[in-house]
Amino acid sequence: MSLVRILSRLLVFREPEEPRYAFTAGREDRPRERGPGADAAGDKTNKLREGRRVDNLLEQDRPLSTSLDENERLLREIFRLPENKDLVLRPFAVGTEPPRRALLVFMDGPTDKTVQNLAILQPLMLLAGLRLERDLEGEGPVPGTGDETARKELLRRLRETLLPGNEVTMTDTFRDMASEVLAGNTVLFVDGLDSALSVETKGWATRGVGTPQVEAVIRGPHEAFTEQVRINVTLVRKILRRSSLVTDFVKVGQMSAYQCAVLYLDDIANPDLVAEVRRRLESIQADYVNESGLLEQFIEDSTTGLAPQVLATERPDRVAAGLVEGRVVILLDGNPWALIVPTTFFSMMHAAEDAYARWPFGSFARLVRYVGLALALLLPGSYIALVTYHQEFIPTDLLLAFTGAREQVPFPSVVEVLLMEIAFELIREAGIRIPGTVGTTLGIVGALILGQAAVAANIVSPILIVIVALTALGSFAIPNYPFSLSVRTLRFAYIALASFLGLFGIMVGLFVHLALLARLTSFGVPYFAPVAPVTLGAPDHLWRSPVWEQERRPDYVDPLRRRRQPRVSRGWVRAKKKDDERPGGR
Amino acid sequence: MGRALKLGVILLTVLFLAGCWDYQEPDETAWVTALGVDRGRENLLTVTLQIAVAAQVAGGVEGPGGGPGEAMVVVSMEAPSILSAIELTHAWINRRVDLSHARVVVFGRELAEAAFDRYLMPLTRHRDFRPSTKVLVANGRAETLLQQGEPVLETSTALYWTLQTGAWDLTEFIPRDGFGPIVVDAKSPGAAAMPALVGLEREDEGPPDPTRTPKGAHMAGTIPRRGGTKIDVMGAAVISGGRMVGVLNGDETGIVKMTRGDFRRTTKTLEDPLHPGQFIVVEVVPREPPRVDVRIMLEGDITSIQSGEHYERPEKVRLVERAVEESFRSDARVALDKAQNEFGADVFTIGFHAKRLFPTWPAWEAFEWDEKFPDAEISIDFDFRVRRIGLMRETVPFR
Repeated sequence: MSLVRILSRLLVFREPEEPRYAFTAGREDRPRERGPGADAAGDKTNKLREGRRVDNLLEQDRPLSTSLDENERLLREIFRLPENKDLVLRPFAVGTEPPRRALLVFMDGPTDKTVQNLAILQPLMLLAGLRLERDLEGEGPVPGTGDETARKELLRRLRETLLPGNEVTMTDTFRDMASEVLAGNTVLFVDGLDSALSVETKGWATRGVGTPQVEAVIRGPHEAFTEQVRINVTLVRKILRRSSLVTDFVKVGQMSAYQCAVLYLDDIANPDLVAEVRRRLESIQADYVNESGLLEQFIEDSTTGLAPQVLATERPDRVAAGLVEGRVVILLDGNPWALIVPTTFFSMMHAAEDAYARWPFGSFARLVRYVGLALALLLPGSYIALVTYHQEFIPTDLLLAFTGAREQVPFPSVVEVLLMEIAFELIREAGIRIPGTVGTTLGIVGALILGQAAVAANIVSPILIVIVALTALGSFAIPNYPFSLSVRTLRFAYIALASFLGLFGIMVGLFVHLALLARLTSFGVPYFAPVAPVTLGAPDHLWRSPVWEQERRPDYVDPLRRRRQPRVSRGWVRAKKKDDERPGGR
Repeated sequence: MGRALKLGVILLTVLFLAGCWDYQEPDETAWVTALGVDRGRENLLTVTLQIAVAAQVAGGVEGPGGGPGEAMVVVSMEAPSILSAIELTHAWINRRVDLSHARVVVFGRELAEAAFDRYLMPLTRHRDFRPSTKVLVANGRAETLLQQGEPVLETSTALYWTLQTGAWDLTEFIPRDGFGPIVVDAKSPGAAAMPALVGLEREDEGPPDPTRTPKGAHMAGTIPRRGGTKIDVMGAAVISGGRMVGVLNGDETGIVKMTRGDFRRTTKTLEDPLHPGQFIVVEVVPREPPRVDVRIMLEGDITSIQSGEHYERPEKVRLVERAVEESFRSDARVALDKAQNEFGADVFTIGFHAKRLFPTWPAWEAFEWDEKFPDAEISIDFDFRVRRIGLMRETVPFR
């Protein structure tokens, strides 16, 4: 290559060659190069048409065919075989005389192979001859598949005598069949039958029941929900062994219909509330609702509200307590968070432990938490307001200490506070996102930034470290994480108000903030019930009264039974009278 | 733009019309801890500001010599009024001067005697002064007092002034009133304002005093002492008719505080009634609020009996009680005589109690108590009981 050519290549701009990608977003007009696999992928419109056809097939509840080959053809279409390698079609013969063709359909992965081998294939292939053809208690031999009654009879016998699976259901349509397959069950097709049998073979890997990660307690059970809705319902049932506990399943979302369980106590929860919860859940037409946080946003009363209106908890005991109060609980499969509705501001500030500790200490813990809330929300703002507008509020010597400490700092107080608050938010955010293997470095870095170094570098004054630390402690004392997120964010609004208007601004902000919160409802229940509006109920919102005083369920839930225990719940404290022997409930 | 949005913007704008653009960084402010006002040398007034050096109070910075620096800066200037003086200050103080943390306002004696009201009253318009700010009258010039009055126990002058003027409940010699009550007293018929007297430590020992004068016979600037700060606070100035008319010494201040209900405790050293030349020491506290006939109810503990006489015994306790009462009575006679004949000002605020006898305020004003006070017949009586005799049932002399 000559020097001139090299130079000309370096200096002269030339149109780049067309890239050889089969797919470039937004370039549909261009005729695509036909590479290997292009035929199989097909055209976009073709693909779309194909998808529509399958959707129609499923949506129109197309019944299964009697022909095994026809069923298999449609199955291949529905599950996109042969590209999709997850679906297994296992043809075999049921061991009758003559052998009958059959097809086992299941997903490779979420199914349990041992159950399939022992409870489906073995009896069908080896024992069918013994059990099907023999005259069963005078029922006569199995007839052929000619007429309708004969088909029904064969199906009944297969289901009742040959499949030892604990849960065997019959499906007649492609839609039901598909959802059974997707749920990890194994579906059995037999030639000549227009119904398929679904055998329960779910067996995917799940996380065991662990300890609560977010709502840890010292006193009380250390069990938390896990990702499987069945296990979660079991955890609740384990606590509430009551026949009136209803678990109703609602399908939510369209892309993948996840199972969503609605739990309530039929003899306590208000039926209107249950109906409303179900109405909201059923009406959701969304692409993808796989997390309770997403579901929460679909069912909450006000999506622009400043605080969560649904209580998310990972503790079965808290769910049980909510159920007993007449609330409704929503569990979503694949998700360790239960949603309790309706909920109020005060539930956001409660921890499970308040009730387990004796009442003076439970109440004290709540008081501490409210102090924490006030600090987390207002402390940085109040500091700015006092230091820059209302210096006469500060004792002279403290003021001189503030002044002296700030002498070396070149920034205004507002900038100083914002710097530290942002640094702290960074540390908190990074602390959640940081990979566990490098987690230890965060502590060092955080301590350095928020610690002596920032002071030594004269970026902030030492007093501010105290302010930020107190604010952080306060925000960690808020037991409900979504609520603490709201406080974290609004803190900056208060900082802005304080820096423009001083304490007056904070007062205005607080007024507006409270008004907006008071306007919120959770499934129709005012957010500050039972304080605003005042309703009856046990003294258990700001203050936790002794457990024997918790005689009524909260009135704002409007439960079917109001009284939860008689006036004298500790029967031993006085001689027995007839009145006291009545059980709770009215 | 939606109506709600418009309304929101208007409301937000209204907020900012509130005019709170008073953003002021504390480190851009000079915190005045004491304000001194004197008759001017060249102009009308000499205004003195004692300003805290915050970095020094916070304990950060070393002084020029390597040791701790000065915790205060004192500046004086000639000006026609206090506010114009503060404005003038900015010529050589680069920070905004803020009086909201001024602990004391000190008036020079010369100015107080000439026109106390003319310079105190304008301060009431100023929102910087709080009712608890103490007003003091210097026995000399406030300027020199503030310049030399560096605290010894504290680095912060603000703390020094707070504690020093707050000592009124530790001794009978310091009056209680701050800015608020003094202004009220000075304006009301039937009461005389009584700001505390403050003075520089006396320079010489003075002529030797062979008599054993009671300690209360002194006042600020004449206390026999060595060491400590250079400033004394003791006794009171009496304001009448807008001017300072005289001073009360420690004991007299104590009597006045008793009639005002401000008295908390004092220690009496009495000559032993049975053994002249020896002393009994009694700690006295109020028993009941004073009644205006005027009868003052006191009680106290015997803390020392030098002679070993068994005054603890019930039959002899009365002797001590009488002696205490007599001692107070003679103090009261002197104070009353001074108030009626020398100042003609009702420092005892007896008028405050007398005015309830009048049906209406005009009737009370028409009575002209201040005119009648010098000729009023006032008797101050004392009723003292020994409550405790200390941790000793009876004195047994050394053998």
